[in-house]
Amino acid sequence: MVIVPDLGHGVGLRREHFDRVLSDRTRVDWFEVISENYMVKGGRPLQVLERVRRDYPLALHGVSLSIGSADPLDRAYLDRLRDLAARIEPAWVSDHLCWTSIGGHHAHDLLPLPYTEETLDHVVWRVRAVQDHLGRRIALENASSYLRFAGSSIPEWEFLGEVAHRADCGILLDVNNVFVSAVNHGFDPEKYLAAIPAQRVWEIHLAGHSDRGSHLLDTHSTLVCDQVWDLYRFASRRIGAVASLVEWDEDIPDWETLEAESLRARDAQCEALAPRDGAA
Amino acid sequence: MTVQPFPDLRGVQELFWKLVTAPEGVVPGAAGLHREGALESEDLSFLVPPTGRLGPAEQLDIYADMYFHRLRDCLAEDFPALLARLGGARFHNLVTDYLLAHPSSHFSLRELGRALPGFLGGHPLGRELPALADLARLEWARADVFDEADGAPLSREELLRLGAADPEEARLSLIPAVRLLRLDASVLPLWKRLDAGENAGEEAASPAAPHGETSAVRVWRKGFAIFHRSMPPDEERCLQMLARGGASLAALGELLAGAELPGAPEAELAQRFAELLDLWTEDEILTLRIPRGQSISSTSKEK
Repeated sequence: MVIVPDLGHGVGLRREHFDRVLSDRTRVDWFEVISENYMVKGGRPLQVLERVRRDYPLALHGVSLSIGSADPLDRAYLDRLRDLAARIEPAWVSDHLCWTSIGGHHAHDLLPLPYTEETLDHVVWRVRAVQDHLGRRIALENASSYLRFAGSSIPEWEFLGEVAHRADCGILLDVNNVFVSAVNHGFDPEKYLAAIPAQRVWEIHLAGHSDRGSHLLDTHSTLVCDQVWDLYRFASRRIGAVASLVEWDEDIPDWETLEAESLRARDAQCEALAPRDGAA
Repeated sequence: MTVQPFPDLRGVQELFWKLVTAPEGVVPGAAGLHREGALESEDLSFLVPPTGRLGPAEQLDIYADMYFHRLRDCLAEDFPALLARLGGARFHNLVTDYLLAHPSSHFSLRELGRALPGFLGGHPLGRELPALADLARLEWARADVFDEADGAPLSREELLRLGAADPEEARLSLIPAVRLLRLDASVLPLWKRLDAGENAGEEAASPAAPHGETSAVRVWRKGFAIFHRSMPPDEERCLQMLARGGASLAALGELLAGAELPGAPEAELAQRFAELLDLWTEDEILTLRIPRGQSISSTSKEK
């Protein structure tokens, strides 16, 4: 079991906020960045990352590991991720429970997996291989999904927990994604959260989504909605104090709005963890 | 009718990929796969069961839309002038054709547009508007140097010290974040108008300079800012020499004297050489080509 630090409440670092974050101390505790955006040779993004790292804890969050792909693992990608991690010394490295590439082609999207025994064995083997290659454990995040495969035989929450157990990796629990998928597929989000092994959760993600009428879309483009705040409090009561992060990737607001959302997460977690009336 | 069995993991992913990247959408894509014999029927419920609100193809279409729009937005960010010149509809069609020919083969979206300038050269839009491919080359070069490796540019003072110490041996080269291009002569003014938000319109589609007339252009990053400018022939020759493997100050001087300004008075040559060195050091594009195992400081000390 890996003991991971509670980094407090952070936000995803995006270039629109580089100047603000560098100019003065912010009220957020930590930052997370998209790993692939910094797997580059030089330029401003890398320099900003190193400066931010001097002042804040930081985590690397990838979108191209393609842990569920039937293609072989991309060793060149893993080498570059390992190099970036050695340079930045992040609190942890994470990616998504999904696939993003097949046949050597990349979708640049988090695509859903069929939750079968075959996929489970495949993902467990690959997480172990990735962890061996990187020399560190990783965390996997539940992605939002817009379809379920006919062949899926394992509920996502069981699948994720089993991967974490058998591969000995962490879980990045995105409660907005749980909510989006719950609405899209008609399951109870609290049942999902209650089934996740609390000791495996390294981090919680919060974000906004969009209602497209026939489905919810995980757009990271709005404030966190009330139902997701409720789920966050529910998850916090189950899991305890764990690093939490607000993501915002489209229609990116001014820094103050994003920072306020992070502070709201701090308040929500405090409220969830406060002793209840009548408690000893 | 038999129900097609649910595929294994690779089968699911290969079929999913074909369906969500089908250029006309999931339903025509499934029909095409059925005609080819890859699907037993056009009904995709063996793969994705219908929900109360969405059928199988509609669920897959959500991913198809996201795939295309994410990649189009990425290309729009890397080629803003091309988008402005073409307009949204024609850019959309170009991206559709491009992604069919060049689906992303790199884990980073940063690489998505690398083949677009070349593709545009052979595309009907590129044949209709010959300067477009060069406009795309300029934009790609600007995007490419953005996160290119950092260099250690020489200051004018450092260059003078090196030159005074040993003009034969001190070997110079270009920092990594420099690209040397040869572009249709209409491209730089076109880019400037588009960058200023002016509607280039049909006037810009018929460049003032006849097609075939080109100009040398260098693109570079100074600090974190991206620049480009046209170059006269003598500068282009010198920078090409530096880009090919470096050159000493003496060799650059000989190149100017022999090829670019033959027969020119020595004072004129010296003045032109000094102008170029001033320009390059001001733009921070020169660096010292360091022999393996040496650092800049140790090289400087030796001088």
